[in-house]
Amino acid sequence: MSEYRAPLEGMRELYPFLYSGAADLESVMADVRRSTAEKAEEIVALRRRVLALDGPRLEVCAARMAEAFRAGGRLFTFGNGGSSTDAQDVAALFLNPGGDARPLPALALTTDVAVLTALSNDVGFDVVFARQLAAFGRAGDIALGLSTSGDSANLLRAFEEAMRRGMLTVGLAGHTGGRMAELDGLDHLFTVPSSSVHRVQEAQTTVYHALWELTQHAL
Amino acid sequence: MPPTERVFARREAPGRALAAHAEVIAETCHAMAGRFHRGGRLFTFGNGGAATDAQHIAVEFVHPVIVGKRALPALSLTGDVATLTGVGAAAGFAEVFAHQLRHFAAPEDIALGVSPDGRCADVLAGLRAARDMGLLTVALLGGDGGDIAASGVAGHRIVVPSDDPRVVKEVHVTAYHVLWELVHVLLEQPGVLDPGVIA
Repeated sequence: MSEYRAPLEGMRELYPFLYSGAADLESVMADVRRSTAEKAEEIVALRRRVLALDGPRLEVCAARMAEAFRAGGRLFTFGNGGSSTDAQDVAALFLNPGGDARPLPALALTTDVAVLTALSNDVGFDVVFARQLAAFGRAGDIALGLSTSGDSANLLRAFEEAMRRGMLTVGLAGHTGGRMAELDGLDHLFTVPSSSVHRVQEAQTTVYHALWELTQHAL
Repeated sequence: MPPTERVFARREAPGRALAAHAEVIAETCHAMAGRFHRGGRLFTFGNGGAATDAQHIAVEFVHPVIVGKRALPALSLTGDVATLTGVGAAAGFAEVFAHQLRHFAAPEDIALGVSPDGRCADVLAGLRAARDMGLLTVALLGGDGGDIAASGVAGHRIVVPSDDPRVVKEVHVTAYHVLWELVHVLLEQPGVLDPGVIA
């Protein structure tokens, strides 16, 4: 094995004769470099669009979140897959922001494997967030859910539960907003207008960072 | 300038600067694809917000959002709370990733550490243990790259030029999405990876 390893990891300049497919490799690598540059441009342009579409609404949402925190509200976050990691990032950022920023009460509903597996096994995956909100959520708390499609059934159930309980509801979606855009009574919905799941997630990261920064600013 | 515009404006230059890393990203993808091609696995790790990136990267590889892309073996070392607290309490928090790599990883694997300021002792220790074992080492860093960049333990480094950990994170997200996509591009070109072409 070891004789293959070195040339495969960037040492082909040292061993060009080992590469009978060297021409192919060069053109593939040129494509790969071009693709990186294109994607960097894409996300910069997409962030500009999000700002143009949602800038003032982000400020309004952050003001309401700050109001909720001031009144003793807590933040609950949720999402699936990559968005579950964003939900955890949001909760960690609010609770433990570091520096001079003010720590705020926040919990991701995606981390407790005992609760997630119990609810999925006994009731179904659609209720994993809604049932936790039923247990924890109070009027004046904040429910923030992230989805790239806007169609996740367990997010829709969670928002319905949050609305029933009088929580402030904040949704981050992508593309056209999917079923989240059709939810009656969602307080704030930010939809990243892109058909690329990856670019949507990247812009959503900016959206929740902006919400955090503006909330801190408003407090 | 309204506050929201200020927040977004700070993202422009670092977001664009990712294009300057195209060469490093291409080399990293080629090396990672080679490891996967030979049966290697990916281990990811980081602290705080970067722990969520480690988990995001792992799920990206194991369960691709693009239908038809193959599942690749990837595991975040931040997900097992029993291990993290166990190792942390017994050997110190700086050891939490290194311990898992020493006892779970193999020389053909990949270690990918995420540290927005480049100064996480446990990420540094993890990358060092990985390098000593012969793993491919990759670091996603920010600011001046910190101790991790200075130590040279990462064979491949992407350093986002911003001191705001949240801006660094956003560029990291694009960087690992691109890494994932381009690893697949290279895996789908067996001619550039197959040891058979190296005669």
